[in-house]
Amino acid sequence: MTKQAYETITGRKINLGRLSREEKRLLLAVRRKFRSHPSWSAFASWWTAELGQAGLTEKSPAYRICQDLEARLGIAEGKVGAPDYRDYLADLIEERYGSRYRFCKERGVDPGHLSRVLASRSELSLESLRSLLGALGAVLVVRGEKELLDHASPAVASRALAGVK
Amino acid sequence: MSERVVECSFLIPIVGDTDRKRHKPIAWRMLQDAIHRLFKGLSGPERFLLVKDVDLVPGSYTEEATGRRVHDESRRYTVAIPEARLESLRALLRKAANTFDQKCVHLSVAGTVELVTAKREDGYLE
Repeated sequence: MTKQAYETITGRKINLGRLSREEKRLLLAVRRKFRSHPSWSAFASWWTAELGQAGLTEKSPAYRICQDLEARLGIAEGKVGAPDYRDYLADLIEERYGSRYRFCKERGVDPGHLSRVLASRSELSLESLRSLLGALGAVLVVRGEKELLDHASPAVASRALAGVK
Repeated sequence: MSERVVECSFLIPIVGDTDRKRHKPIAWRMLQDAIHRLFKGLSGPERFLLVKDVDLVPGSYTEEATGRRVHDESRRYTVAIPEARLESLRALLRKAANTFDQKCVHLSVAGTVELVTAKREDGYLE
C-alpha cells in the first residue's frame, strides 16, 4: 500500500493525495481517535458526528474510509462477520459504475435480485458470480481465513492512515 | 418557523434471526448510507446533530418454538429527525428488517415504542 492511498478491506484504494483541507483535518482527528482503540460503536458514533460537523457528506472519501475503519473494529471485536464476496462485489460496483442502479441498467442485472444477494437473503451461483465479476474486470480468488482477517485488522488500517499529511 | 424535531432510537440485533450469524460489513454500510440519504436535502437555520449516538446494548427475547429466553446484543441508533420524515424512517427500517433478517425492528419515537414489521415486498436496503 503506497503512503498516498488508503486500502479498504476489499482492496479498494482511496486516494489520500487529493483531500480538501476539511477532509485532511477530519482524517487527522480520525487517526488520533482510531489509535486510542475505541470500541466499534463508540467509533461509529464519534466519526458520524465529526463528519457532520466538518460539513462533509457521504460523497467524501473520508466517509468511506471511516466506514472501513468502523468495520475493522467490528470484525476485530467479533461483532461483525468477516467480509465475503458481497462486500467485494458492492465495492467494485460502486468504484467502476458509481451506483448499483447504473450497473444493473448497463449490465442487464435484476436490481431486486442483486439487493437480495447483497442483503445475504439470496446467493449467486458460481457461474453468475463469475459473470458479474467479469463485467467488473475482476476474478474470483480463494484466500485463507487468517490472511483475510489479518488484512482486515485495525492495525493495518492504522498504518495506512500515516499517509494523511 | 422551524420544523418540530423528534428524538428516535431503533435497535438492530447484531445477528440474524434465522441463522444467528453476525452481519457482514456490507449490511451495516448499507444501513448507514440509507440513514445519510434520509437526511439529505434537509436545510434550514437550525443546524442539529442528525445521528446523535450509536451504541451496543444487551437484550433478550423469547424463542417462539422453544419458549427459551435468548440473550443477544443490538446496535442502537439514536437520531434527531424532523417529524415530517418519520414515515420515511419507518420505510427505511422495514427494508432494514429484511436486510438484517429480523421479524421486526424496535423503534422508539420520543419515548413511545413501536415494532416496525416488514413484508418481503418492502424490499431491502440499497
